[in-house]
Amino acid sequence: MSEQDNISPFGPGRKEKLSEDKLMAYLEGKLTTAEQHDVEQWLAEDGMESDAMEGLQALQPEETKQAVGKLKHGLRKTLVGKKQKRRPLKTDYNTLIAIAVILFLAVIAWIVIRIAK
Amino acid sequence: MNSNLSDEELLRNYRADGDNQWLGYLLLRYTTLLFGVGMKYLKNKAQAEDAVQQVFMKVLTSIPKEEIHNFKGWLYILTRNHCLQQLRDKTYNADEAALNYLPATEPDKEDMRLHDHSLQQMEEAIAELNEQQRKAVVLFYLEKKSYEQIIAQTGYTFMQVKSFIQNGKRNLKTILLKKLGERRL
Repeated sequence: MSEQDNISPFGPGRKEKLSEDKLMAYLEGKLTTAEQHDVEQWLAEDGMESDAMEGLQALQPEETKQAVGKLKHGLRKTLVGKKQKRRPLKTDYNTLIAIAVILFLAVIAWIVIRIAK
Repeated sequence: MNSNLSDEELLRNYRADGDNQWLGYLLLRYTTLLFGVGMKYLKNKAQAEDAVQQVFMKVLTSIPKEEIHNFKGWLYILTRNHCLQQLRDKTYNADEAALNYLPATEPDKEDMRLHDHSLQQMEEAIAELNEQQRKAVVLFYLEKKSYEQIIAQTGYTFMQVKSFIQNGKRNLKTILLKKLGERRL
C-alpha cells in the first residue's frame, strides 16, 4: 500500500465486512486504538454500519447484548416453530396406519368369532 | 458451516428449497446492525426491538420473488423505511418493490477517480475545509486517531466527531473532484 493509500479517505481496502463480534468488541471498548480506528472508518460512510453504530451509542453494551440476544432467541424460536408445524403431516400419517391396522384386526376378530359360532 | 456462506449463497439456497432456515441465518447475521438502525431512528429500545421483530417477519413471510442483488442493502433500506414509516405515523409509503433493484456493491466510480489525486492536491483540499472538519479529518485519517482520542484531544462529542468527519469527507470529495476536473481541462 502506498503512502497515498494510507492517508486517503478514499483509498482502497476500507470496505471489509464489519463482523458482529468486532462491532460488539468495539462497543465494549475491548479493541486496541488501531482496531478502533479501523471500525470507525465505517462511521464516515453512509449506510447500515454507520447508522447502527450511531444508534447503539445510546445504549450500554450490556443492554445491546441483551436486546440482540432476545431478538435472536425469538427468531430461532419462530424458525423452529415453522419447521415443527410441518411435522403433523407425518404424525397424522402414522396415526392413520395405526387406525387401519386396528380396524383390520377388529374385522379379522369379528370374522373369526362368526366362524367359531 | 453456514457462517462461511456469503449472503448470495444463503439466498440462493433459500430460492432452491424454500427453507426459511436460510433466511434465518441471514437475519441472525445482521441482527445487531438492524437493532442499531432501529435505535438510531426510533431512539427507544423497546420500539427498536419491535421494529426488528417486524422486519424479521416481513422478510420471513413476504420476501419478494424477484432476485435481490444486494441483500444487506435491501435489508437496511427495508428496516430504515419501516422505522421512518413508524415515525411518520404510517403516512410514509416506501416503494419496497424498488428495493429489489439495488445494485450489488461495487466500487464507487467517483471514489476510484478520486484515487488519482496527489498528496499535494489532498493537502490543498484539506486546507479548504472549515476548522472543525479539518481538525477531525486530519486527526482521523492522517494521524489515525480513534474517536476516543479525538474526543479527548478536541473536546468534541462523539456525534460531533462523526458529523465533522462525515461532512469533511463529503466536502473533501467535492473539492478534490473539482480540482481533478480543473487539472484535466
